[in-house]
Amino acid sequence: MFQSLLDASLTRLFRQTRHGLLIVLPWVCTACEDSQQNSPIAVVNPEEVSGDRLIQQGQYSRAVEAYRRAVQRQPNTAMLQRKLADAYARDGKYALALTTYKEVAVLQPHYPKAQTEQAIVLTRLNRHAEAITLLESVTTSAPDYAWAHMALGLLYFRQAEYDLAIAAYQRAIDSKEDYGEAWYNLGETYVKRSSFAAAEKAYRNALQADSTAAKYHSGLGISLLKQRQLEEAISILKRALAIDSLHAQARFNLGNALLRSGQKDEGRRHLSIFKELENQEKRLVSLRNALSKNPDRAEPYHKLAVLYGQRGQYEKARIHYLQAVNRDPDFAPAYHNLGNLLLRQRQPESALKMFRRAIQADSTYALSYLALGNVLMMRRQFDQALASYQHGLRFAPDDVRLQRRVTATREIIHTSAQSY
Amino acid sequence: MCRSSSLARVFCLSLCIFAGNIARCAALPHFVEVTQQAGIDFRYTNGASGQKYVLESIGSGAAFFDADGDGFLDLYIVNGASLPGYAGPPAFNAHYRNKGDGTFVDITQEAKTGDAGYGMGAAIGDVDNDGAPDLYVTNYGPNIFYRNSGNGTFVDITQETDTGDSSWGTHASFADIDNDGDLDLYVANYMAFDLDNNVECFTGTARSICGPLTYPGQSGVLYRNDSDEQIRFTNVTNQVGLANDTGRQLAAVFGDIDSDGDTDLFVANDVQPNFLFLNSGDGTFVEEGIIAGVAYNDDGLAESAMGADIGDYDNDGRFDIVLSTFQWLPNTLYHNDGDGFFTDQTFASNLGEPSVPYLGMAATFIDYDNDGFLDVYITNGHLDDNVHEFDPATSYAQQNQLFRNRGNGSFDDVSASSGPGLLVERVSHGAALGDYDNDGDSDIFISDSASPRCTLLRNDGGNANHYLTLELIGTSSNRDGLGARVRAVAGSLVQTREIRRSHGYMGSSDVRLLLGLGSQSRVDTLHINWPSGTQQTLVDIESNQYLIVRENANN
Repeated sequence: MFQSLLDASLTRLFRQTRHGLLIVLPWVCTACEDSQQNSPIAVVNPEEVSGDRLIQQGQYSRAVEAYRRAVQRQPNTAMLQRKLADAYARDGKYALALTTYKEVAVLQPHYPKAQTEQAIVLTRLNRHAEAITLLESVTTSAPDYAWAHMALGLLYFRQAEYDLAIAAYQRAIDSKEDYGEAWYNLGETYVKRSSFAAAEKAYRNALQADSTAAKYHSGLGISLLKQRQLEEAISILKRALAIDSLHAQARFNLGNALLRSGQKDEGRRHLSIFKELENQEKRLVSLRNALSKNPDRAEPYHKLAVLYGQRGQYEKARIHYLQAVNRDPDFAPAYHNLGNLLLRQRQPESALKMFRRAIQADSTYALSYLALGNVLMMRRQFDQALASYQHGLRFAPDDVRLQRRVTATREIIHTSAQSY
Repeated sequence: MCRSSSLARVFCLSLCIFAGNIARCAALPHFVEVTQQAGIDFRYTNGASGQKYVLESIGSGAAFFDADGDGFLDLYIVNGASLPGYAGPPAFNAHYRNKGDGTFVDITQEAKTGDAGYGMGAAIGDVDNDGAPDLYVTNYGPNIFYRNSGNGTFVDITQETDTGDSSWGTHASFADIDNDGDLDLYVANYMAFDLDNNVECFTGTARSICGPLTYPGQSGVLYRNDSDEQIRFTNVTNQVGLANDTGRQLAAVFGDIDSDGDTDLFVANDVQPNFLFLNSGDGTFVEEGIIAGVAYNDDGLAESAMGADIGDYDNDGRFDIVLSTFQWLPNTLYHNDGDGFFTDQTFASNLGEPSVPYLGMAATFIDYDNDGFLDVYITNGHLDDNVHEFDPATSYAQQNQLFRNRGNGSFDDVSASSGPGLLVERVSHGAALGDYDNDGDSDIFISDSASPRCTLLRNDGGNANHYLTLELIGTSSNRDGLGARVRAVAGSLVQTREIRRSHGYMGSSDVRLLLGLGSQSRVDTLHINWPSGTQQTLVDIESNQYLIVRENANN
């Protein structure tokens, strides 16, 4: 749950900065299969299918609508209500999510996945004590449900109750031995306890579960760094960055490890990149905070999307552009940027539609006339391209790019007419 | 038995705790609150009216200094002021004279130091080397510079010295940055908050104090002392490389971090990376925080640093850094490795885990038990009086914390076993350390942002161990001896300390150096490295005395 809402690389900030009191934990639910079946007869609910698809596409507002229709169709289905609550949460509507989870609880009091998700929503609302109580109850009633143990461990960790956190992670691992996140968090807690050898072991186990996770490599690197195994730490941290070049903590520790191993220029270079990443992350956190306060406003989503695009996180960017236009269907810049993103992904036809949609939303949006003209040029539709550039010039008569395009396109048309 | 060795102390302490036997713990010093009986009736005003101006959450500092030269520490307490919508009476800073019998009397009016600005911090330094320490007060708005006339009264010299920086001043510190024998002044600034543009912030649905990134940062200011017959200061912030408005500066502490004979500057930033300005030797600075490893903590996080102090907690001859931070963050201890790098030893030293549930403000090194190892004292208190509305796991008023140095690089949280003065929960911010009753141990004054507004803690039993109180008088160096490095060898106990007034959180402490000696009854050698470069060594000094050392004088 919430995977696409969350950015794992940001969790250290969310977890620990002054602005991160709304604890956002690295929920990667690899242990939360939903086996709930309310009815022995499987009923295909097309709205549910639609909601599932929209969730996959990151269109959470529309998923909410689909699930609401699905719930109207089958009002007493706990799993549908849970999906609706989940969609609300993904859409940043935590209060509504919480209300819906309460309805789930009425329909089905023992529903570990729903209860764990509800606890996460409580943390979003800064109600950590209630979240802990709920998770303690889930872990008692469903002792094999690993995800709840891990979530509980993270909340204990936040309060520096490291013994309790270690025990909770251990229980999660007992339930699911290859639970990489639990191993990783166990490692994090051992680091706080300065038990670096134990941390190293935990990180290595996390890597056995998933060797492609940059943060597991980063954790291992840190534990080695702490044990003064500089060379191996450097190698592991470089591996983390090869997987995810935006992993700020790995970058930070690599910089420090290199400095301490005498490679000062290289160390400084990595720390300089780290500083830039840190600034980006702060902006992301700030935008996320703005977003959580105003979940109905398109602008924060748009800004987040732009920042994700700058960081090369295009899928996240795409989802956030969609979130923006879902909130404000006339938000031309979001359509326009989405069009650019699609162009980058070599989808000119889809991009074309987005530029047209931007112009439909704001007929004076000159940038989209320019972009639309460029796509039309690629399709060798010179006359239409020229018309688009000329339209743009009406609203931005001083735009040099448009002026040049008009001139160039006219020449092309002229040349092609002559050659014809 | 409890004092014979580090191991024995640890054993004794453990025994105390596990046995729950208070009597056996009696050997540990206790702090007792004596605010009322000492005659301190100060009431802090934050001017709050429900508007949640970020200003009202910051609290203020205080200063212990011997203003009238009678050998007893007087007390200056910085006050807030009215804010729009506040209906209370006007507020002024307060100045208390130490009567020498354990009590104080309010002499604010006579001393003429009752500034009515929205006060933040107080810094002390003898800027004209006349033996009468002067006072600089930081405000939200123009700061005030008071020159000590030497007769217990002060004169406002802000205008004539052009030192009334009008940014949001927080922690000011005096130091001789160019080792020319007079004290320069650094003023840390927080951020460009405007009362007319009070952003409304919320945590969940509850109104809360806005975080420091809500407003742009402000650069600190360095005033170089260019006095001749007249006191003159010049703003040389840009020339010396200290102009930097990316931080949110709350604490500024000078100290010779790299042991090269000139003073460096550590600036604790709220939410932003900390600064370590290394002195190039000519009074100019280069910022090396990220390279040295003190800009971010071990997690690569820019801490919400509040207070800070510099001191050699493990007696390895190098100055380390301790920081207090925001709620749900650990305080941080940076160990100086001596090779230009620091290592975050927070959790390894046991300072991390116990600090997470608290919002730390002042962070100070203090050898409260005179065992020769610096302990750590932290004041705690939340910024939001309604924090319970959005974080029920914490509270506005919080207990302050005392961490006793085990002598092996780690600490025990002894807050619960160090007397009733440490058990109270208050909204504590600034702290000033000093031996106000001249009994050979460090007492603590704390400024609180909520009732009962301030706390004076008397140290009872700290002087059970031997000590030596040193007052340095510079002649070629600045009169206060600020920046002088003292190395004391007493048997196996070797300590390196530095003369410093400003540290912690917006406060200024006793300039006298109280050296704890543990069971050592004599100091074998006392080596002083003065800022002027003068080296001075004293030998075979008896403990439990108050010793004045004049630079260049025969031993």
